[in-house]
Amino acid sequence: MRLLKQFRSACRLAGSYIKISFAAELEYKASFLVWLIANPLQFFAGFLTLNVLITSFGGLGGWNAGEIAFFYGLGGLSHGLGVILFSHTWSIGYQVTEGKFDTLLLRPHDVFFQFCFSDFNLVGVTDLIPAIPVFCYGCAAVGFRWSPASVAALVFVILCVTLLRGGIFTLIGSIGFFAYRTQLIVLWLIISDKGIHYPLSIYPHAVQFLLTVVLPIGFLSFYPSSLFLGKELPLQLPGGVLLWLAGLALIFALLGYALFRAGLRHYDSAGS
Amino acid sequence: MNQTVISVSDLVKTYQVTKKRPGLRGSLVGLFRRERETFTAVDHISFQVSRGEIVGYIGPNGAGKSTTIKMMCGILTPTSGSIEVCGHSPQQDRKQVVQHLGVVFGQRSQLQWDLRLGESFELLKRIYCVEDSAFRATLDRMDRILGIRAFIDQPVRQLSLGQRMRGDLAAAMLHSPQLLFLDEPTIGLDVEVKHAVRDFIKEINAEFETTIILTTHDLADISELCSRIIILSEGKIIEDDSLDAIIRKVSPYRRLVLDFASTPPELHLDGVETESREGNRLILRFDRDRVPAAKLISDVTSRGAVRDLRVVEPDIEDIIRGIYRS
Repeated sequence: MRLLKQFRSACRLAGSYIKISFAAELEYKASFLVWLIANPLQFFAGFLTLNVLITSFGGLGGWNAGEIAFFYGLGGLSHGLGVILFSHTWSIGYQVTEGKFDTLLLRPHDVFFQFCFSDFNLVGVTDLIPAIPVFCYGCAAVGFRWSPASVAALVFVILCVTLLRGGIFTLIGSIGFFAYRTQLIVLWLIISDKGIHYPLSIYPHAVQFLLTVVLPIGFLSFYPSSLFLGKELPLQLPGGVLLWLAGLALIFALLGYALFRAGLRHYDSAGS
Repeated sequence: MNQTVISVSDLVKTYQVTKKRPGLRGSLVGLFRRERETFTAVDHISFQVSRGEIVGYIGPNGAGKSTTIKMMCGILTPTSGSIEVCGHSPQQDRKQVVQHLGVVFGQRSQLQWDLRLGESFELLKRIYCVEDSAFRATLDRMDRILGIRAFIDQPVRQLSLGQRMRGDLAAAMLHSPQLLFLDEPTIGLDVEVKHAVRDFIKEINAEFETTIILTTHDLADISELCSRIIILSEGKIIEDDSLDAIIRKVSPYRRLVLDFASTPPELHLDGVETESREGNRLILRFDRDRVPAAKLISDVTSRGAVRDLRVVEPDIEDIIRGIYRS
């Protein structure tokens, strides 16, 4: 009963934070408008480049245009959600040197919860918007069968991928608690995240292994898309894609959260 | 009842500081060989604060004031020693402790920069689960003391420093905390706003028995508000007493400045020294405990025609500066 009350209270607080973030973002309408144009343009430009490659070479790592649209759209959906919830992990180093965690520590709620929701990134919505039509087009092109089971699987995959992306972002971003200046690591992270725009099957075997087991960004779109489209996997995954995805999402989320907590204990605030 | 709100025992906070070598060569060498040294910000301090006290926590820059406050709030973890705030450890039970705390950092606003002030208040209402009726009552009270309704609908970024500080103070009080930490709340404010902030502190202390820990470099804040002062230097407590007791201890003398109608008379009174004699002006220094000012004035005026006189108390700023230096 108490847990339920706490959950409802947390949901209400998250709602308030989201409302405040929307209002704050909309204070700068021109900036938001630029994002609203630039991010979809970038997304569609990437998609068009892939289509040019597919048209020129008759496919990409064994994937045709429709399959690529499905894969690209699915990746875009989880990328948008990841940016909305976890993109501020990219600036943890800066926030540490500026003493920004003081405010969160002074409030009677979990710091990570506040960190995720208090700076809810509306710009992520501009990543999400173009992903929806591309994914819908991909679904139509590959003849995706909409059923309660497939929708449930899709929702499960999107949740797990968002959690996995959040875990990876938090794990790498939390290095900022110790290293303070992490722009290069973050830049590398963002580039890696963009790397998932190509099917894993185009990479050499060693890279495939690396992107499956060590830094599992192959699970951000490639493996789930392969599962939905019935494609052959470049690496055998005992237990299946969904089990690996859920397990990795949980492991990375826990690792990210643990490093964030350890970082918070290491936090020295900033001089006044 | 003497209820302890804060109990600090043998508190230590050290930092590992990397020694920087000068110049580019030094930076390059530093990449491979780092020399670290331990810097002690807070050095074995102990004190207790009772409910309803207003304590001035003062010291020169870098003395460890903000570090102590941040440890008491649960922002920083002590290296050793223990802290209890409202019966809980801020490090182990942070959420319970901060529920009872209001904190204002004069140099860093807790308000939502891009939104109107009222929206910050509404978010804090949700964060601290404040009932509607209590929220409205507190807001009315804060408006009466700080006049916040005049600018509650303005975005925080457009507020003046004084308005923002008043907003921060009101925000810190919305959940009716038992304990208020004010870290340099009057820094950079004009005389009028300083006055409003001091009135606010007095009023909430009198009305709600709110315990207040005040860090400031403005000694007028201290003399007007604080029943007790803790002076910190290089991480150590060097004084912990009432302002009056500290003044008596450090500077037990007062001065009597006399302007005579003609040349001042020669005086030989017990506990009184002549500090200077210039024209018709005579300045006497006397021990406040041994010589009552009224008796001295009566003795002096009976020996010569005095045109004007005044008793001068020691300058607080000089006393505190003397303590810092010692």
